[in-house]
Amino acid sequence: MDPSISCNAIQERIAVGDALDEASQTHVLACAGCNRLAAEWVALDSLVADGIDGGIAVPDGFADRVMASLAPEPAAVSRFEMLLGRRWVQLVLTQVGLAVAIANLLRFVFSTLVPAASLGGMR
Amino acid sequence: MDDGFLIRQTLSGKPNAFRLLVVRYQRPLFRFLGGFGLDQAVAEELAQETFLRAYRNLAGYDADKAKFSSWLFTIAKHLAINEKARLRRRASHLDRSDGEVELPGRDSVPGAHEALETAEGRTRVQQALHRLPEVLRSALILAYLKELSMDDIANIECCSVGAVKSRIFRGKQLLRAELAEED
Repeated sequence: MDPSISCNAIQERIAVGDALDEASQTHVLACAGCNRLAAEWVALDSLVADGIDGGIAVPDGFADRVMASLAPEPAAVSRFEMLLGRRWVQLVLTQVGLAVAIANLLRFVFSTLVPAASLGGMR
Repeated sequence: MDDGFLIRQTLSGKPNAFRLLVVRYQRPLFRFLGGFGLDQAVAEELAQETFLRAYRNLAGYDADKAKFSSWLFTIAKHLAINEKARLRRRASHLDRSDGEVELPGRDSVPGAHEALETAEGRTRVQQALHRLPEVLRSALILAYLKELSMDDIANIECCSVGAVKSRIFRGKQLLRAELAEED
């Protein structure tokens, strides 16, 4: 056996499914420890590969079910848009707008009739 | 037809191309979800949700960053981990509220006598897998699927290929010990 070949390194390579070079394969055949472990990994892989899915299977028509769930959804409406759509919010916004308009009108009339008292008109 | 072509077709308004992707990946995806110990109904729900999310976010998928399969399994992995955490929280809540409560498991599903041996083998493997740390289990399940390369698994696990190999090796060592203990 080649003493430069580490049993641990070979066993790890077998476990993760890495391909072994010829020297490593020769080592596995000659080394009782690596040989036994290689056989154990194969047995384990077979057992786990059979049992890993836990008996879960793809149901008939699964792809159709997925495709049916992909039907386009109604366009998403943001919370702000939903809020603006409320009647009482629209009423409040109208009232505020009206109040601002009246205030501006009064300010204009007042500044025209009494320029000295208007905003910025004091000299 | 490769995944890239089917994705482009889907994005150009041909959703039937996505159907081929579903058919291509449904089986490995179910096996992957089964590896997390989820029951059939939950696995179906999560598999459907995985494809749904993939479809909705397909425009944001970057083929230069990951293969479609890696991306899909990453979505499934996150969903499965979240579901497992939710089930654990629920189980601990039920344990606190009633010590006698027994959650339904696959063991409780009656089956044909001849299927029992296989079912027992599966249950043993599943139970041993569940005792593995999450980080080892996920890498191990992905490796056993035989659908993904080490690079793909590293991508999904967000670690180096070396780390994936180390996790698989450690996972197999623990799994072997767990199964040997039961014998």
